[in-house]
Amino acid sequence: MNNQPKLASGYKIWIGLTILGIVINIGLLTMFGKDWKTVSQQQKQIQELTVRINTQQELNNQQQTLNNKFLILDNFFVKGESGVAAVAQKLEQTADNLGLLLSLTFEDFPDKVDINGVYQQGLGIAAIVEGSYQAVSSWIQQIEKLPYFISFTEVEISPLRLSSGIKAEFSGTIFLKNEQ
Amino acid sequence: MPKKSALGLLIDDVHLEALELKPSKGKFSITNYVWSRLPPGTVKAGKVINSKILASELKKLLQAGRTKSFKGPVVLGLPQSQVFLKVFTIPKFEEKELNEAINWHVDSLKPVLPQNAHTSYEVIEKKPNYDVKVLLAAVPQEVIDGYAQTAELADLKIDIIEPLALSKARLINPQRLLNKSIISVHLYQNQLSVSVLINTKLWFSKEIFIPSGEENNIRSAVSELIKFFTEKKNKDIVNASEIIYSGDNHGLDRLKTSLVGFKLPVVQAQAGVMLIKSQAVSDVQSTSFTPVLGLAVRGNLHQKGLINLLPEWPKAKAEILKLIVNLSKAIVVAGIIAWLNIMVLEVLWWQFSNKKQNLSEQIAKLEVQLNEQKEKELLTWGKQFNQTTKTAQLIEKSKIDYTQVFARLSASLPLTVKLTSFKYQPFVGKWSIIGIADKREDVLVLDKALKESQFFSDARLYFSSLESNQGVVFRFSGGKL
Repeated sequence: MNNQPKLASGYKIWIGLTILGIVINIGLLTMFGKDWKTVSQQQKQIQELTVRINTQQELNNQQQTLNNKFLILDNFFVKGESGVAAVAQKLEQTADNLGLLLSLTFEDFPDKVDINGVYQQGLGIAAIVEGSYQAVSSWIQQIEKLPYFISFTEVEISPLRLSSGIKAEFSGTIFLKNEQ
Repeated sequence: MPKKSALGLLIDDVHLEALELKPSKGKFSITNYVWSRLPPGTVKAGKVINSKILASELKKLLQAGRTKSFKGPVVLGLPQSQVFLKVFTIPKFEEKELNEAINWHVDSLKPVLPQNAHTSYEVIEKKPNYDVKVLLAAVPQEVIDGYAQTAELADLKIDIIEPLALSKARLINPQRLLNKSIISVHLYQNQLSVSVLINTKLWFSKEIFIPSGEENNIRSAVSELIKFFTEKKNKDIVNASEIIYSGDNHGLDRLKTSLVGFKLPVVQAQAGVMLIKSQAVSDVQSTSFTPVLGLAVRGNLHQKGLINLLPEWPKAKAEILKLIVNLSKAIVVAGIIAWLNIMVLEVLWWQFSNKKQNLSEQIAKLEVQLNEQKEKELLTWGKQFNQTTKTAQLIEKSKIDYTQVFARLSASLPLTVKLTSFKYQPFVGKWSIIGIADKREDVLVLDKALKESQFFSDARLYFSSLESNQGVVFRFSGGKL
C-alpha cells in the first residue's frame, strides 16, 4: 500500500516538457498569428481585386454599349473656337433660310456656368433676329433642335420701326466642352 | 455510514496486525486481515525503538495483505502501557467556553501527565444541569512521533491514533453496557486488559501480559480493579454490576477457568460489531474481539469529538505533499494540453501556410487579369460619362420651349397690349414679362388671362404697372414653366 502522497520521479521531466510546450506554443501562436494576419490581408486583397475586375468588366460592357451614344451626346457640347464658329454659321444659315436678319454677339471668353451645382464651360451669346413673327418663331424652334446645347434665357421683343415684323433679342449660353 | 473501507493497524512489542473493514448494509465485512511477527527489539513497551525495521515490516505486511489500492482512513492503536487515561469532571459551560475550560483543566493536569505529553480528550457525558465528564488521553510526544515517523518511512498516511483500550471497549455490544458500571476483562494473545466501562464509556483500563499458567494473575488483576473502582469512583457512579469477558479462543478458555469465585456475575461479552462472513477470516466469531477490529471500526465512525492522538505535523506534511502531488498532476495535464495544442497548431499552421500559398497564386492570377491601364481608362470614361450625362440632363431640364411660350402668350394677349421682353432664369426657375399696353384695363385683362391659363397660372402683376392709364408699361413675373 502506498497511500501517502509522494512525488514521482518523472515530474521534473514533465515540468520541463510543460515549460517547453508552453514556449513552443507561444512561438507557434506568434507565427500562426502572423500567418493569420497575412491570410486575412490576402483575402481582403482578393476581394478588392475581384471587385475591381468586376467593375472593369462592367464598365467595359457599358463602354461597348453606350460609347456611341455618349460620343453623340458629348458632341452636343461645342468644342473650342472652331465649334463656336460652326454654331454661328448654323445659326446664320438657319436665319438666312427663314429670311431673317441675324446679328450675333459672343462674350470674349467662355466662363464656368453653375448648373444646379454642376459647372460647365459656357459662352455668352446674344442673337438679334429681325423679321416676321412666324419666321422668328420658326428660327428659335429650329435652333432648339440643333445638335448643340444652346440655352436662351431672355428674349426682348420690339416692333420694327420701318416695316412690319418684330425684332427679337435672344440672350443665352452656348455650352462648351470642358477642358480636360 | 460511509461506504469507504477503513484500515485498523495494531503494533505491539511482538507483532503487527492489519485489518481492512468494509461497511455493508449496517454490518461490516473484513476484506483483508494480515499479521506478522516483529523482530525482537523493534518495539519495546509500546515505544518504537527501530522505526526503519518497523517501517520495513509494515510495508511487507501491507503488501502481503494486498491493500495497495486502499484509500480509506487508517487507524493506529496505541498500547495502553504508553497511554495515560483519566476521567475528570468540570462544571457545565457553554460550548465555546466548555472547550476553554477543558483545555484549562488539561493544563492543570500537566504535572501528573507524562513529560511532553500529547493529549486528546473526549466529552463522555454531558447531561443538562449536570457536570461534564471528560476522558483525557495523554501520550509522550516521542512515542507518537516514533509511530508517525515509521508511518512516513512506510509511505503510509495515518489518519487516527487512538488508545487500544478504546477500540477494545468498542467491540462489546453497547446494549449490555447502558446505565451500568461493568468490569471488562479481555485476553488476547496473552495480553490481558482489565477495564471499567461506565454507561458504555471507558473509565479506566490496564494491560498486563499474562503468559500461560499464570491464571492466578488474571484473578488478582480483576480483584484489584474492582477494589480500585469501588474506592475511587464518585458517589454518582453506580457500583459494578457484572464482569464481562472476551478475547481470542485461547483467552476465553483461560478466562472461563480463572474468573470464578467473584461476587459479581461473570458473563461472556456479546460482540458489538456485526460481521458478515468473509474469505479473509476463517472464524468470524473469534475475530469479533480482535482489538484491531475496533480500530478499523473507528475509521468508519464520523462522530466528532472522539479521541485522536495524531499530532498536527504529519497532517500538515501530508497536506503539503498532497498539494505538491496535485500541482504536479496539474503540470502533467498542462503539459499534455500544451503538446496537444502544439499538434493542433502545427496542423492549423500547415493548413494556413498552404492557404497562404494558394491565395498568393490567386492574387497573382487576378493581378494579371486586372489591366490597370485599362481600368484607369475605363474609370475616366465612366466619370466623364456620368458627368456629361448629368450635365446634359440638367441643361435639357432647364430649357423651355419658346415656341410654346410665344403661342401661349399670343393667345392671352389683348390686341392693345405689346410684349417687349420675356426673361427666363432656368436654374432658378423664374420668368418675367415686360410690355406696353394702351390702358390699365388692358393690363388687367392680360393679368386675368395669364392667371386663368395653366401655363402662367402663378403670374404676378407688379402694382407699379398700374400707376398711369395711358401707355402703361407693365411687368409680370412667375415661377417655373
